[in-house]
Amino acid sequence: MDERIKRIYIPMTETSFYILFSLQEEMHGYSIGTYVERITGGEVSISPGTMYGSLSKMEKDGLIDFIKEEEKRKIYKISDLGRIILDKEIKRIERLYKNSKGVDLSGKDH
Amino acid sequence: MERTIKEFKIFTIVDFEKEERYLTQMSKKGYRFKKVSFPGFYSFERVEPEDYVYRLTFKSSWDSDYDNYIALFQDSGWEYIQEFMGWSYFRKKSDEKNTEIFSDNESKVEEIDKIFKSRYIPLFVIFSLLVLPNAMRVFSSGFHRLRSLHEYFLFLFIAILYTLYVFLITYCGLGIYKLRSKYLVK
Repeated sequence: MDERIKRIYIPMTETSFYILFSLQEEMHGYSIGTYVERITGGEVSISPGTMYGSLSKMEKDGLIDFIKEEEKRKIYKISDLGRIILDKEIKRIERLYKNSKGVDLSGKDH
Repeated sequence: MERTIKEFKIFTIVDFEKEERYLTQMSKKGYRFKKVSFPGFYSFERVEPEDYVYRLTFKSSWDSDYDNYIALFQDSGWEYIQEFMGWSYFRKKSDEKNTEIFSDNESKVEEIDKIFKSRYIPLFVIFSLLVLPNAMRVFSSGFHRLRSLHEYFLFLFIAILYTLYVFLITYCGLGIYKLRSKYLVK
């Protein structure tokens, strides 16, 4: 995988994670925002400037694909590269979670 | 009572947060921002005091995805006012939720870096390639050698331009630095 992409996105900011995670389904910027707000119980909200910047950057870096435009709203979906990055990040978060709960992973290979 | 008032105020590329505060305060005093149509010239409409938050983003209407950009902001509850010289103006009732345009520091710093690249660097290039060499040429010939009124005025003009430029370059450079360190998370 591209080292530059890896360096930028792993570890990922909370905003990037939730956007990429949401885009496993086709969505446009505002619907990503409401979706993220709902599944996090209102704890994470992404403002439009941040949303726009993140989507443009991720599209440029090839993590998401622009699918179509509907009533001036751009609809995106995660790309194959985005999928790889997201899976890597989920594994990292799972490790973090296990360690935080006191699980010792020394016997396991990663 | 006059329905429309005009005010003259100068904000540089690093003063967008000051400009936001200015428009917000004007609206609290009952002056609703109508438009800015020439650098520094602001028109307001006299209304009842309002509680709005004004925000500026560095986004030009020349961009091909400008419609998408505006739609995203409108969906998020922002009222679009206008675009002027690469800046987009928005407002929202201050008691509504999410009155920030950027929800994390990373994206705020990215916006500042965008301003630095597309506004500050050109300013600096013009200064180094045009203003500075011209000023050097005129200044090195010496004030006492000026013969005609025409030469005297040219000297004065270059001197004023040079001073203004040096001030602007320093002011904006410091401003960018201050903004970045305010939002940069180490």
